[in-house]
Amino acid sequence: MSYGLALIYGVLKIINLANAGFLMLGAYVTWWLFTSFHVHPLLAPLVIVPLFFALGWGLERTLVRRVLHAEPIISLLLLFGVWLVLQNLAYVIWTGDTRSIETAFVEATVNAGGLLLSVPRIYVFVMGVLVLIALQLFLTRTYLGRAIRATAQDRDAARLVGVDVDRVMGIAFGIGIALAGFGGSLLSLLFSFTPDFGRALSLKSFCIVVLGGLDSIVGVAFGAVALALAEGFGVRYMPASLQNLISFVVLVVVLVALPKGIAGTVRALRRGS
Amino acid sequence: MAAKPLVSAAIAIAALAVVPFVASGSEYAIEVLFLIFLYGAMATAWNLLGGFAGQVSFGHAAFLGIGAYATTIMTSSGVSLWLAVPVSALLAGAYSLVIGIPAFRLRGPYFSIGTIGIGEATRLIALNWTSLTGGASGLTLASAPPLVQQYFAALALLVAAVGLAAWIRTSRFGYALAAVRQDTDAAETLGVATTVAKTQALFLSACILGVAGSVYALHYLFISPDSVFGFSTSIALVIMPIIGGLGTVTGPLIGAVVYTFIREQFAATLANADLLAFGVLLIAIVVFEPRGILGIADRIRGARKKPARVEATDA
Amino acid sequence: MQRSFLASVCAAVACALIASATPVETRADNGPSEVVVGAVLPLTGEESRVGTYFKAAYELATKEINDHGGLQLRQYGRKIPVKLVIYDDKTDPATSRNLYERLAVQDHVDAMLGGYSTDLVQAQTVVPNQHQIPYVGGGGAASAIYKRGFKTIFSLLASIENLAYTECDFIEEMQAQKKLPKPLRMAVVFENTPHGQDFAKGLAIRAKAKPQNFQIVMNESFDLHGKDFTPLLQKVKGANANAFMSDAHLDDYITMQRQYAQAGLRHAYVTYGARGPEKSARDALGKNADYIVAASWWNQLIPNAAVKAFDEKWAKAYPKLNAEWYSALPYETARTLFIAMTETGSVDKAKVVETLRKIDIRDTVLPGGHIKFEANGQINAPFVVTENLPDGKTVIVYPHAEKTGDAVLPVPGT
Repeated sequence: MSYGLALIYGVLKIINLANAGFLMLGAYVTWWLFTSFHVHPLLAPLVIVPLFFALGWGLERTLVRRVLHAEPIISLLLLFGVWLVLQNLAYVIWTGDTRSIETAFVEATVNAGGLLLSVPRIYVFVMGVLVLIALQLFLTRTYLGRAIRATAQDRDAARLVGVDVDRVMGIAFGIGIALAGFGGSLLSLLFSFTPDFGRALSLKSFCIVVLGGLDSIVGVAFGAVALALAEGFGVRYMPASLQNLISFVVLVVVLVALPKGIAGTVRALRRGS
Repeated sequence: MAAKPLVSAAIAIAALAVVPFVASGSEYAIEVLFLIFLYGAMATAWNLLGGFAGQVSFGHAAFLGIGAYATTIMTSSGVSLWLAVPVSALLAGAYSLVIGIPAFRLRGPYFSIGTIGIGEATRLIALNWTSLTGGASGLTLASAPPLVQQYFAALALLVAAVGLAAWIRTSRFGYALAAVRQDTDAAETLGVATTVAKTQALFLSACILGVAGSVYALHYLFISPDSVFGFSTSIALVIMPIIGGLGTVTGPLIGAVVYTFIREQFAATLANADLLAFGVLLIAIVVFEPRGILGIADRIRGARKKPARVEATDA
Repeated sequence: MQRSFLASVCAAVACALIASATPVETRADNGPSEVVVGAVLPLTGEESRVGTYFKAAYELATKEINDHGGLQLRQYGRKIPVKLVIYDDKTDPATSRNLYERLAVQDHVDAMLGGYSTDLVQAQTVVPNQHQIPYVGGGGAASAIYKRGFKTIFSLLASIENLAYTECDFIEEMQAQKKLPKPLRMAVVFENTPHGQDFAKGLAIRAKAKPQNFQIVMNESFDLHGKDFTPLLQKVKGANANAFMSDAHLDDYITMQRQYAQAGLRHAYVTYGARGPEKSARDALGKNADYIVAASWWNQLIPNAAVKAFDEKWAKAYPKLNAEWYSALPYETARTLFIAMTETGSVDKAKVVETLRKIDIRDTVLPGGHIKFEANGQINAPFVVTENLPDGKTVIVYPHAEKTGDAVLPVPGT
């Protein structure tokens, strides 16, 4: 999910608050496919990824495009509005009752040398790594991927070189949303959820993206690990209920002290600036 | 020209002051107006920072909450209202100064995201500082001043807030804020002490929200971290001025009227339909008319004036 | 600018006056045309499982009265039908409070029936107190609710502290039978609400009084309606306890127990306070719900005639809903209100409150056999302790008057 945020920010220079909404929607669509059509949740992404890509692309073309040239705060508000609509539409359609996906897979555990590991968690972790690799390869090895990076670095220069900037922006947004939906689908295996699902996670993912540096995918991965470690340590020394507080404190601290995030700071240091 | 708004405002205030005595049978009407006044004041306060200075904060509920909790805790310990309310306002103001220091190092969208974090962090602190705040169960007050008194208190607060906003708008302070909103860096080079200006705006908006929080607590008799510090409260503070007209004097009040009206309509019926409506409204406004209802009104007035202007140039 | 200000103000006043034009009931001397009773329940949101049962129970009790023509009220010399108004608070305390206000100010209710779940009840009760309306509830058990000096609030749910003591009494009996270790090392986790705090307090008091029987090795709170308890459960793992004492609401119970099983935790004694045998939980958790002990306000297996009659009545009206404590309690709550109004003979609020203060109803399905409120408005009734056995069976293990079988303790495999 954080990759999606980073991608959208990098290319379009807008901060997508609606990601949380799409994350939640991803979870609900997975649930809906499971309960109404008996689609196994592991297969749901096959439907979700293209669907959400189309949704994201469509959203970009119709709404986001119009506000790209205004103050950045306007696009922030627009996506905030989109998130409000998504969240409350979910309340209206599915009500606030807690939903969860219950299959044998979700309950499965595996014994690894005395440590009892939950299979879904392993699956999600592996998926996360695979996505990271796939995304990195896409961005560095394919034409489209490089076009996206070019647009992120300098929109006008990219245009000069012949990149169809409009198309690239639509695609980037689409990928970002698709990643959010995929993330939601994965998370539905681990947690039960209500329409409020995205909110706390969305803030954590902002934290991760900022920690890692808004422009670097690998940085985001580091950010995620860093946050997870911080939370894990934190829980040992303070009540578990303060767990979420940790990520917010980190967010504020990082935003203030390291505005470029870890990767950005490292890059800046390397350049010797 | 300056007299006109004052006169119509005075008329409006007088009319509103009479309402409780005229409509004494309908407690509901008084309650709705009370809510409009209260939300109007809250939205106007937010607008000082968000609209005038252009720093959109998604965490302003923190100040409302501090005012509410401070007043509740103080009056439950026997402190008189006349002391508790100003103290709560100052506490909210003080808190704003503390968080302003790190927060204002952030710009634009980063600032906004940071405020989400601050708002949520404040809520979590309130949730976990059980000995002071009662934690998740919140605090209740045993009694409240009569509704009519609350009505006038809210009206007074609204008048004060709008009056302050109007005064700031045309003062040097207001121009400094406008400069900050347009382009903070340019303003700095021109000699505007931008951080000081932003901090002052934040302090004022926090104090007003602190008083509003006190009124809120006295009306609802029940506060909890979710109800006063919650993200949905912060959302409301953002939505109202945007709907009405960001950065204007009366825009937030208009937004408050719309907000209260929609909320009351949907209160008992379809779940969350009100927030859904607000989301749609927000998108529509941001995309089509970022200046909100007042902006739409201006456009209509402009369209009506056009034929006259065309005739004049023809002649 | 000034024009729009004036316009908006006028619009506001107009709207308010129009919206407020609700016709107020004119009462002739032979009484109102109907008795209006209101309640706000969590029909959606985290507590919706129980909220919908409350609604069904209130409706059943109301229907029974109306099938006989209504409430026989002496002062008006005739039977008056009851109109039940129910709103959904979506499990949000502020919404709950606002909707009760709506009941008072717009619907002009004669009395209120309670909602469900401690936080909601804590918040909503400020309204009947402020408007001095009789409020009878079966959904808020934490003692903090009743310590505020509110005079018109009554509850049929006994306090959670009593629940903790009842479970401890049962544990002591098990220790005497050598079925549980002595002392029992308890890892206590409780929801961060007055409900949970009551539970933890009860256990702490008993542990202090009888340290040879009870030792608390971990004591931590968690946020209500959480999604992820794994960090908390990891701490439990490290606490080296032989009993897991949790106090949680239904959906947290299901989430936590699922994660408990996933984490591979095992204890000789597992309890979730009042939660355990609910059918929806057993369906969701499968064999992970086996051997869980619960102390509840009522259970359908209590072996007496009144309970059996209620079970049949409930099954006939709602074949798809199991008879849980949250069927019987709200039903009795509504019945209590109706009996109080009949005894008073009118809908005069102050008089109904007086009647409730002194009432003593002997024919009830509640354990203990009578409904009578203490000075603070809360009932002082006993609990029944149940244990979940494999294959969806449940057995009442304590106290002896209501016992239907023996406990299987410690949990097999520990």
